[in-house]
Amino acid sequence: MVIKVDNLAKSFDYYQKELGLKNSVKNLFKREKLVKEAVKGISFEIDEGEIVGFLGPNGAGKTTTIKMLAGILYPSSGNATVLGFVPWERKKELKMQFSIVMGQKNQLWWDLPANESLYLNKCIYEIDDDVYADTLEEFTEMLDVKELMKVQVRRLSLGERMKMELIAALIHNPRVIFLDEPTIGLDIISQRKIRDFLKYYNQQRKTTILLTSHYMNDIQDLCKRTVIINEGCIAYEGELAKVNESFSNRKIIKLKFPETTDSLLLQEFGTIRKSDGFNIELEVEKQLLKEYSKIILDRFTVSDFTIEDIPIEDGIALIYQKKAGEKVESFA
Amino acid sequence: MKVLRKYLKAFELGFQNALEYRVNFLLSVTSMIFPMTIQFFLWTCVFSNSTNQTVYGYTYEQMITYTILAALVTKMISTGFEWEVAGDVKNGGLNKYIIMPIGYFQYRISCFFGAKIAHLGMVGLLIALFLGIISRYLGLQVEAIRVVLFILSGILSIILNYTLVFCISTASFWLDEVWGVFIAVGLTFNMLSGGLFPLEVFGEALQRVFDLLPFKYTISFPINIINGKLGFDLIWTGYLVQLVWIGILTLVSALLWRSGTKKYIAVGG
Repeated sequence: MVIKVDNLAKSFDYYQKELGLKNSVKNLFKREKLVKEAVKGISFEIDEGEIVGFLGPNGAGKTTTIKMLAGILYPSSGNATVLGFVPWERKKELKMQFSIVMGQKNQLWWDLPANESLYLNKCIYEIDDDVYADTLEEFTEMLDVKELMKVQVRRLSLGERMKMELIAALIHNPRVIFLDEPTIGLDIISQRKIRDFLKYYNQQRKTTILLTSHYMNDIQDLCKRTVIINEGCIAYEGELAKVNESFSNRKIIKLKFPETTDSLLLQEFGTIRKSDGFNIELEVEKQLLKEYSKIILDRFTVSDFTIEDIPIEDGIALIYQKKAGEKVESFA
Repeated sequence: MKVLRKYLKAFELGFQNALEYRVNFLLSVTSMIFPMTIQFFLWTCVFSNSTNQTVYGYTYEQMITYTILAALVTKMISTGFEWEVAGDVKNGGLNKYIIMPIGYFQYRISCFFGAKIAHLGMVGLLIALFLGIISRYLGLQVEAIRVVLFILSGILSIILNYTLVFCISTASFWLDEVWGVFIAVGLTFNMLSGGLFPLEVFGEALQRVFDLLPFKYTISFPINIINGKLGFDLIWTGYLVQLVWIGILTLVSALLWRSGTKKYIAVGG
């Protein structure tokens, strides 16, 4: 067990201000202190070499949890260990073995070329010269940024900078990596490149990765298992493929018509998910699929016809919409 | 050895970064001409309206020398990292140092000294130039030994000022906006250090208090070495006081930093 989280909780104090100048003045003298429970006693475990998707809507407590696991935040209560260490004790042995990448934060020196910052990290993490040279060669090759090493960081594009950030975070070959939205704001090619890189890296070094992202492609591509939190509680924990279990008896029929067709005519077969006259998406019960398909094809002139599973996003959205505390049973 | 290399590299990056911003520094040095001009005319006016040869124990030449050197030494010991510390605390940039096997205080001082070396080249040149001018035209003789002692005290002044400002920079942990604090404290410290005018202006009683405080050992002390006002026995005591204050303030800054980061990681920056 590389990461063990046991009943971890964190609450913050905050203040509110009513609209207007009058209340600004009032707040000078008396403010009502409010408590926000960002994380409300969560527990989960991650094995060596696993990539786990850590999902949840904005404000669910993902970043707070990751910050606690990285030792940046003290928890209000509960326990956690990473590689056998309590992260907020901030022991050097642990620091040498883990890394964190936050898509919205940067650690590189803005006005200097990336290779300077990377060399600083080499010194900070006490990496041997030959190991450093090999790792750097391998990473820059894979991420295709070799010729950008001598360019000032501020002149790099967002995608290029993120790749450099990733190299900086992984240069010391950490055993555990926390990735907080590493692909945020990146184009599709860069996203894919970073995903491929992470996948390769994980396979090569058996690194344990906890990944948060709002891009389903990242999660589906990399993670077998997922932990979903909502309003500070665990809402689902288990295999990603089974998130959609509650939809498993339903399928989607996508229809394309040569001329405008009224979607009302198709209502008897199932729920209309989308319709613009030419393209209609229909959600149908699995056991009726065959029968209905036949009828539809007989009755209408259809120019294209496909059958698909309900997308994973729908399953996740369903979990996000549930109230806190309502845990979806793990189907594992 | 490996530990030392972390900070050596940080030192080097600080130096490189300062070179990136050389024009910025050049301009800030150039802009010092204006306060210097004001000081020059102010004291010229004071002396021409005075019946005495000396004001606060300074002759006209000594006074002009003092105020111009004060401006240069202020520049020499000046910091700027406090804004970076404030930014790190406010925007969560501190996170990356918390998770890395590196000491923040040591890291910042390494970067700071890297940048300082780059700046010292220029300020040192200006000071040397100015001393050359005054010894030629104002007839103020500077002994070689005093130059050496000045350099030594200057180095200690830079370190002392660093520890002082580092303590102030920890205010970022408790205040949401430190802009006003830094400006107000900076001006006050500069005045108490003798960065605007000689401390004799404040009178006997206050001067005895200043002797015990760290401030005058950052600006007034090195200047009084070079202009020959201090006897050698007082110079040695001065070094000792500098060292003692560096020790005390390093300790205080470590304590402040510790309770600051405790608060920081309790509330999450």
